[in-house]
Amino acid sequence: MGAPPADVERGFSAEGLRDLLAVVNSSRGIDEILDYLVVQAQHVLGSDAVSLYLRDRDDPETLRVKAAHGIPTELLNPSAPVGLPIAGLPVTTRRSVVLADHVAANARPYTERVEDQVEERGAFLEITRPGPFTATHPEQQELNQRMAARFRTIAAVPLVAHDETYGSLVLYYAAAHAYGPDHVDIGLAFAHQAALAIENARLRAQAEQRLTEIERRRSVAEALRDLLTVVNSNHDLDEILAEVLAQSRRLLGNEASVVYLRDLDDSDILHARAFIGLERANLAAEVRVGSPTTGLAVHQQRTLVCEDLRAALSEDIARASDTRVEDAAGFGRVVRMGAQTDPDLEVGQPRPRVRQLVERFRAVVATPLMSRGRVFGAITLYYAQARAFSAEEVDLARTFVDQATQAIENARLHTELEHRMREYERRRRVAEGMRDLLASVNSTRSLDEVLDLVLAQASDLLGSDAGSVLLLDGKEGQQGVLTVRASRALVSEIMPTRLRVGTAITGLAVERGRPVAVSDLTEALPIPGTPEPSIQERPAYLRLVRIGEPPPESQPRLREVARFYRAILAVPLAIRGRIQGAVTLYYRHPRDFSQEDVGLARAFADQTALAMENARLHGQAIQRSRDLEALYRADEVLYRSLHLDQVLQALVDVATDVLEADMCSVLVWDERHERLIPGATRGFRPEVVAQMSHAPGEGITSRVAMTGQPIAVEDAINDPRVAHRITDAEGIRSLLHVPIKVNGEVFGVFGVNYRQPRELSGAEERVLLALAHRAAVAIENARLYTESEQRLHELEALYRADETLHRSLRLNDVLRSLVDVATEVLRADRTSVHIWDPQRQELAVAASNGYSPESVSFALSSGEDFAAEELMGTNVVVVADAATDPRLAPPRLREVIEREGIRAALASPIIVADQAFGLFSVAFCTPHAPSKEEQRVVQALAQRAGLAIQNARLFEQAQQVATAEERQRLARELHDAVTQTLFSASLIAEVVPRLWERDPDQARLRVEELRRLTRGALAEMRTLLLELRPAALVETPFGQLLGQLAEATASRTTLAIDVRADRDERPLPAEVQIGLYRIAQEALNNTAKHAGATRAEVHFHRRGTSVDLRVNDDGRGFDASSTPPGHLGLSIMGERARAIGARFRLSSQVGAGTRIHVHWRGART
Amino acid sequence: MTEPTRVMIVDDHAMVRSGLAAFLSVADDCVLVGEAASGAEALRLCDQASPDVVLMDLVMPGMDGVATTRAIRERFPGVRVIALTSFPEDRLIQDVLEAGAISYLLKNVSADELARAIRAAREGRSTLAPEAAQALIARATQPKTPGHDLSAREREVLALMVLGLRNPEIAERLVVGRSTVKFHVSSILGKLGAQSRTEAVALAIQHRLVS
Repeated sequence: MGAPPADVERGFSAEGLRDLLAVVNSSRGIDEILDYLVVQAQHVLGSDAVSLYLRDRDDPETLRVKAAHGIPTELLNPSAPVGLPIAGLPVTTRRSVVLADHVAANARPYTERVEDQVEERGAFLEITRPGPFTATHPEQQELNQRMAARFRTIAAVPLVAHDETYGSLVLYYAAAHAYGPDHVDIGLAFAHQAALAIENARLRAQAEQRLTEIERRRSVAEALRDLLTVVNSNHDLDEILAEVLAQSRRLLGNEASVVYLRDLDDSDILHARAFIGLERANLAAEVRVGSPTTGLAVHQQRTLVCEDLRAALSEDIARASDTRVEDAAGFGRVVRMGAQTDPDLEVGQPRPRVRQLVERFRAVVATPLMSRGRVFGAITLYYAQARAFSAEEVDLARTFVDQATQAIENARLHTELEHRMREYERRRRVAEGMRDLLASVNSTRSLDEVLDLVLAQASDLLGSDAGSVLLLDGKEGQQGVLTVRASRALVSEIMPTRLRVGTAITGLAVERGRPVAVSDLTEALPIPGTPEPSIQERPAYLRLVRIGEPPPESQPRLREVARFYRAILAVPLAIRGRIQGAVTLYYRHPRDFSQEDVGLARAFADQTALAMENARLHGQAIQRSRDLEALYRADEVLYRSLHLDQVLQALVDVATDVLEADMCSVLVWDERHERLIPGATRGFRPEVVAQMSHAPGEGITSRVAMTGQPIAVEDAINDPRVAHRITDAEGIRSLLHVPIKVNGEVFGVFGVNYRQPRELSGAEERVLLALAHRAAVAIENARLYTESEQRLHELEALYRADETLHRSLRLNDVLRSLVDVATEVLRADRTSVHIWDPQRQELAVAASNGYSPESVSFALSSGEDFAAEELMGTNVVVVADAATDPRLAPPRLREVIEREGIRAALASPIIVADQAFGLFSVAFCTPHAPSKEEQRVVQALAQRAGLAIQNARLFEQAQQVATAEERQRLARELHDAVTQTLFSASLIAEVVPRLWERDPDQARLRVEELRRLTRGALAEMRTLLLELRPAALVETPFGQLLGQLAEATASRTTLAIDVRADRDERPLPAEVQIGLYRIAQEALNNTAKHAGATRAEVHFHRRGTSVDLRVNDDGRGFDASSTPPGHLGLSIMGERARAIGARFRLSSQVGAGTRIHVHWRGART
Repeated sequence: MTEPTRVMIVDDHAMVRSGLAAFLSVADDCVLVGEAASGAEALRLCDQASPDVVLMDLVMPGMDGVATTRAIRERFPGVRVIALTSFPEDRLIQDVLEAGAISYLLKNVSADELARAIRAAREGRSTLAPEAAQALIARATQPKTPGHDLSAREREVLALMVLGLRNPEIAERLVVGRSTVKFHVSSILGKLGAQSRTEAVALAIQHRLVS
């Protein structure tokens, strides 16, 4: 240390100050001033080096070196903490701080506390030892050593101005320097000036900055004002965006810029909506959110800049993966762009757009457009030069953009509103159109009308210029060919009428089952040699970028089509789940198709499909209703008749009608001959019908009969199964036959035939089967009817049989009736009844019909002629074939059979009162299979006969008994009478001798009486004999009988009976004679017993054929009305009269006698 | 006997009456006092004619000989009835004798026999035709059928027993008291020699005591 050099002192002269002040008050930049200051400081303060530290703007507790002179950089601390020596301490103490002897100080141990480092020297503070900074920073020690080696003394002076400490000035002296108060003062003074200079510079800088800011704001405001003008006069978003871009260019100095907008808030894609300064070709029309730079700015919701595009893309894109962004103040810097996040960088593209951009623009600023927290787009600024962006510039850009955002947002909303209004309007029209379409589809308009309407609506609502509906061709549909079913406004000559599935646009749509669209046909025309189409998948449809080359045989002539129509949309038609065609719309101008367009087109396609389905169903429904009608008519006709042949005829008539057949037939299965024979036909010639009886196995009809399944033949000529002799004869080409099943069995075969080959669909078969079914029912009805008729007939016959059988109670009559009835009812050729004689074990003929006398002349004996158990059982004996039946083998039977020519027979035993009475049989002389009905009838007749015979027997018995009883009664009476008479006679005879002595007259009287009595007894005896031998009653002439009767009666009584009878010898019919006799007998008896008469008269007269019998008495009579008829045998007399067909009259009066008159008219012939 | 026997003839056959009348006309000790053709007439005449002996025909319409005999014997106990008939039936013989006839003669009888029978009857002595006597003897020697001594009422009760009716029902049927029925039942059992009701019914069926 020594005294400051004089020059130093002298240096700090007015000159120096003046220079300093001049510098201070100049408008030089602060860095310049600082540089000047350090140089001046060296001069003025004589240091070997100077450094200047200022507070860091961001971190006031840290000083940063701002200027230095004369000190090697490696020794220089770029920063120093405020408060710590050396540089930082003056800032806090506002005093000079001197490190007088660096070396010595370094040698001392360091202290933790700053206070201990420092010693007060009055004018300055001396650092005597290392401090906490050194303690905590080991490298500082080393630096201190080196520093100490170079500079022995270091002094730091605070830069203070207006009570503000800006930093410190550090002076370095190589040699030890004795620092004294003067030095301090000079230093302080200089520092003060420096601080002032710094302050001024700063203020000036601030003022400049403010001015710039104001300027900027002003220009922004201007720009915005201009923008607002545009905005307020105009709602057009595009215009507003254009204005925004123009203004930003003015403000921000970019060469080009683009506005990207998002479709929806969360859409992934940003579309370039407006641009300025570049061509569309260079534009990234779509940017994916996340891809640098713009997409990434949107994704990160902050401004991103890329200061050098080329640098960012410098790495090989194929290898680069991720994007690297550096953070800056409020924005980000894209340092490197990655391929994977940028669609524009996609591999395989001929020229990624970004590369194109890079040729024109080198720097990019992308700012997101945010409103209400959402990012709805971005503005990207392009600069031709690579450049760095300051925060202010970025800020400026952001400010402007923020302001512009509102306008953009408003405009956007307005546009959106307008767009929505339009959309709404459009949808309304679409809905109306669809409604009309639906109404039409559901109406009964024809399919063609509906398709026209569909295409008209498509034109209206989808703006197509032309349209067509194509369908897979019925037959050729299998081969995949579409034909045009309807079209509208197509330039017809150039449109294809046939299209193979898979070719061109419509064919592709049908093949893939998805809508296919071509935005510009001219660009999509096929390239020869590339058959495969180039397709882009879109969510709603397939975008056909290049049509595949069509096969040579089908030339859709796309080139010609492209002349008229540029954009085409084809939508497949699905009917019942299967694609059956397509609706194709044509546009004159190229266009893109939105999801909405495709959706609407699909709606049209669906409606078309629906319309076609409806039309088909409608057609089907009509067909069905026609079928039904036909069946109703069939029902009417079929059920009208109960006769089988009429039913069958009705069936063929209806079938011919309904199915428009040329010929129709019903063949019926004939059990007996085991063939199908014609039941009813129509349209066939008679000679053909005659040949129609098929042997089993011949022809389609036989097959149908065997299998019970329908068979259709569409081409009879070539079909081997067909019975050609018939089909050829009538020229039949196609036929359809179905079985008629009655009760599960094939009754017959029913079918229609056509002279033309004809497709026989299920519909005809259904109708035919339905008719067959109905026919089966009708046939069944007819059968049942016939059966019931038969039964009725049977029953009637049996009733008549009953009537006949029971008409008579005489056995012979019954048996006669039986054979007569059997012959009639059964239409038998021979009938007979045999009676069984158990004693002789013989069957003897009792009645017969049709047999020659020899056949019935003998009795059949059991054992010899027949086996009793065979014929006399309880069941009906059925002989189906008399020639071979072993029961008819015995010789005499065989003889009869041969003589009579009997082929079949039925026999039934007749059971009477549980015993075998006889055998009833019927025989047939033609081959005859005795049916169950006939057996029943035979049995029924035998039963009835049995009953009738029993009745006859009982009646006979009763008759016999009655007769016997009566005879007995009469015999008894007579016997009684005779006895009495004889008793009396004997008494008198004994008495007469005695009487003769006493009274001869009396005796004579008594003798007379005796004579009378004996005569009477004789008469009685004779009468008795009559009773004992009834035949005598008939043989004796009636007059004689009456005389006898009278005598007999008179002898019993004191009655005088006068008999007057005609001498007519003509015999009366037996029963009449008997009847009249009995009446006379009864009448006389009554008179004798009850009348108390003295005289009676019996008169018998004949006149012509009539007979009159009268019995009168003069007795006491009786009151006929009060006497019951049973009394006095009156009823008996009346009955007897009735029995012989005579009139009986009785008159009696009390006290006046009784008169009986019987009148018989005579025999009726 | 000084007075001649007063005889009445009852017979529906006029010639028989005539014959008998002729007989009586020569019988010195008899006198004909009346002729009736029916039982009813006979009763009337009996009152008027006061006969001593009646010659009664048995088989007559209306009131038959048996009933007439009974009636006459009840009303005119002094009158003797001689049954005179063609029929030698056991039943008739029995009945008419029970009815009170003193004699039974067949219509093959001679005049002398008849006269003797009338005299005997006046004196109160029976005369039986041999056939009748034979029938009576046969009956007497016949083992008695069980139930022959049943009274009419007892027979009625027995018939109902055979039908299976209990005593109360029988009582209801016959309109008598139950105790009466019980009394009859025990009497029946005694007469038939039956130990129980069932046995009595069996005997009744066996011997055809009831119809």
